[in-house]
Amino acid sequence: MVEHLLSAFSTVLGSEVILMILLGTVVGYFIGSLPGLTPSIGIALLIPFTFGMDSVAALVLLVSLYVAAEYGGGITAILLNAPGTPAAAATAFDGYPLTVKGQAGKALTVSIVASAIGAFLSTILLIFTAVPMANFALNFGPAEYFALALFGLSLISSLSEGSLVKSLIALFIGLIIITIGMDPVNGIPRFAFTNNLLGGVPFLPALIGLFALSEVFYMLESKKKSKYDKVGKIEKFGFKATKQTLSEIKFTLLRSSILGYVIGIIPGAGATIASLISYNEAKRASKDPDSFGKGNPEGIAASEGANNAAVPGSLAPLLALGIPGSASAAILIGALTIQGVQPGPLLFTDHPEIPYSIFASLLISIPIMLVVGLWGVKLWVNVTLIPKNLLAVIVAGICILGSYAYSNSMYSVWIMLIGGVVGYLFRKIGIPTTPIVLAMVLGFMMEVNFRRALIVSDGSYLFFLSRPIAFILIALAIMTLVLPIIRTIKSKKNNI
Amino acid sequence: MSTHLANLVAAFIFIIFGIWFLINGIALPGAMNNADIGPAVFPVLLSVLIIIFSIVLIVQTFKNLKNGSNGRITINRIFNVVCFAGLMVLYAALLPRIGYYISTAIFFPLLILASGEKSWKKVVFITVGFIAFASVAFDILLGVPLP
Repeated sequence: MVEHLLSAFSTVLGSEVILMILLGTVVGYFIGSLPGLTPSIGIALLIPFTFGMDSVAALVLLVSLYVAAEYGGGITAILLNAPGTPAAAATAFDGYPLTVKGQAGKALTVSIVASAIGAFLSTILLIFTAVPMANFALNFGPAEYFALALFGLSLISSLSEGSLVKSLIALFIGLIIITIGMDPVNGIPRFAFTNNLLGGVPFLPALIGLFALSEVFYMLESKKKSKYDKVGKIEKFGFKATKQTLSEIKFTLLRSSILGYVIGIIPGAGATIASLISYNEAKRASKDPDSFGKGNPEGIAASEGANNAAVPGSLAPLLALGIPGSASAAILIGALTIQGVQPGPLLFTDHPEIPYSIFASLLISIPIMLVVGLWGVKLWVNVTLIPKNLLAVIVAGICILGSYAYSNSMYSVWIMLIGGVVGYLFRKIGIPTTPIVLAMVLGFMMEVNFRRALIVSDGSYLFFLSRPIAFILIALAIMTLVLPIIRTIKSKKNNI
Repeated sequence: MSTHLANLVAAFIFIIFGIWFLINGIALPGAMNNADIGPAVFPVLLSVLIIIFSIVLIVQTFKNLKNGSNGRITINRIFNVVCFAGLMVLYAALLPRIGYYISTAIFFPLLILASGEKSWKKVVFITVGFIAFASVAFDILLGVPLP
C-alpha cells in the first residue's frame, strides 16, 4: 500500500495534475456556491472535457471539483441564507445568523477550515479502511435504510425551535409533500393533478425557496435607517481568533469527520444526511445547545466537517465495490468507464494507480482548497456591505436562475416561489422550516425502504427488530425523540 | 394581526390541507401484494396526524388566550413586500414567453424600485450587471441554456 501511495504522490505532483487540482477546486467553488447547481451537475458538465485526458488527470479533476463544491455550497448558505447545495442547509442554521451579527468572516473561516479538516481526516480513514468499510456498507438493506431515515427524522425534537406542535406539523407537511408523484413501489400516481407533479416536488428548488426567498422578503421589510443600509459591518477574524475558535470545537471537528465518513459510505445516504445528523449530535453534546441556530460556530463546523467528510466516504464503496455512495459518485463511475477503468474489487489489483492517485490527490487538493478558500473569504465577506434592499433583489434573481438551472424547466421556479411564500409566512407565525427540510431529505427513503423491507420479509414487522443495525438505529431514534420531550416536561414541572 | 388569530387561521388551513390529502389518499388503490402496505397508508396516516396536531394547536391557542399571553405579527413595509412578491410571480409567468434576458431587463428594474431604491444609476448598474453575470456564468461557462 505504501509503495502504491508513494508512486501515486509522484504522479499527482506532476504539473499537469496539479493544474487539474487547481482547476477542479476553482470550478467546484463556483458551482457549489450557485444555488441550483449541485456537485453532481458540475461533474456531469466537466466529464466531456476529460475525454482526451490521461485517466489519472481526469479523475483528479473531477474529484477535486466534488470536494470543493461541497464546501462552495456553504458560502451562499452563510452569506445569503441560500444553501448552494442541499448538504449546506445545516450550515445556514448558524452561518447566516453570524453574518447578520457582522461576523461573516468568522463563519466563512470556520466553514473552510472545518471542511478541510473533515475532508482530510476522512481521506486518512478512506486510505486505511476503504475495503472493509465498503463491505460493512453491504449490510445495509431496506430495514437498515428505513431505520437510518427514522433516526434522522427523530432529530426533529432537538432541532426544533419553539413550539414542538408547530415543528411536528411542519414535519408532517414535509413528509406528505414527498408522497406527491409516482408511488415508488407500485408506480401509481399520487396527488399528481398536473403532469409536472408526476415527478414529485423537487427538493433543491423547494429548499432555495424556503430558505433564500423567504429571507429576501424579510430583507425587504427592514426600513432604511441610513443612506447605506448594510447587512452588517465586517468584524475582522484573524489567525489568533481562528486558532482559539478551532481549539474550542476540536471534538466537534473530530466527531463530524468520523460521522461524515461513515454515513458517506452508506450508498444513498450522502452528504446532506451526514451534515444534518452531525449538526444534531453537536447540538446534543454541546454545553450550550440553546445557542445553536443563533450563530454558534460549532454548528457550522459540525455541518461542513461532515458534508466534506462524506465525499471521501462516498468514494469507498465506489472504488472497492463499484457501488456509488452518492449521486456524484455515480457520475464518477461514468467517468471511470469512459477512461476504460472498471471500478470494483479488482481495481486495487488491476489498476492500483487509479485509487491511489485519487487518495493522493485528495490529500494534496485539501490544502489547496483551504488556501484558495481562505483567500476567498476576504472577497466573499464584501457581499455583506451591499445594502439589504439591493441584496434582496440580487438574491431573488439568483433564486430564479438557480431553480431554473436545476432542471431547465419553469416548474422548479414555481416550486421555489411557492416555497418562498410558504417559508416566509411559516416563519412569521413561528412554524420552523427546518423540519420540512428534514422531511424532504429523509421522507422518501423512509417510506420506500419500509415497504421494501415488508415485501422482503413477507409482511413481518418483527423483521426490523431482527436486524441488529436496524434495531440499534430504531432504539436510538426513539431515545432521540422521547428524551428531549421528557426533559422539557420535567423542567416545566420543576418551574411550577 | 395577533399571534393567536394567526395560529387559528393557520390551523384551519392545515386541517383543510389534511382533509384534502385524506380524501385523495383514501381513494388510492390498495397494495398489489399481501406484504406491502400500499400507496395509501403513509399519506393517509400523515394527513390524520396533520389534522390531529392542528386541533392540538387550536386548543393550545385558546389556552394561551385564557392565560392572557399575547403577541402581534407585523409585516413592515407590507406594500413593498407584496409588490415584490407580485412582480416575481409576473416575472416567472412571462419568462418562458418573452425569454430570460428581455423579462429580466423589464422586471429587474421594477423589483429594484419595489425594494425601495430610488437611484436610477443603481437600477441600471445592477440590472446590466446581473444580466451579464447570468449570461457568462450560465449560458457561456456552464452551458445551461436560458429561455
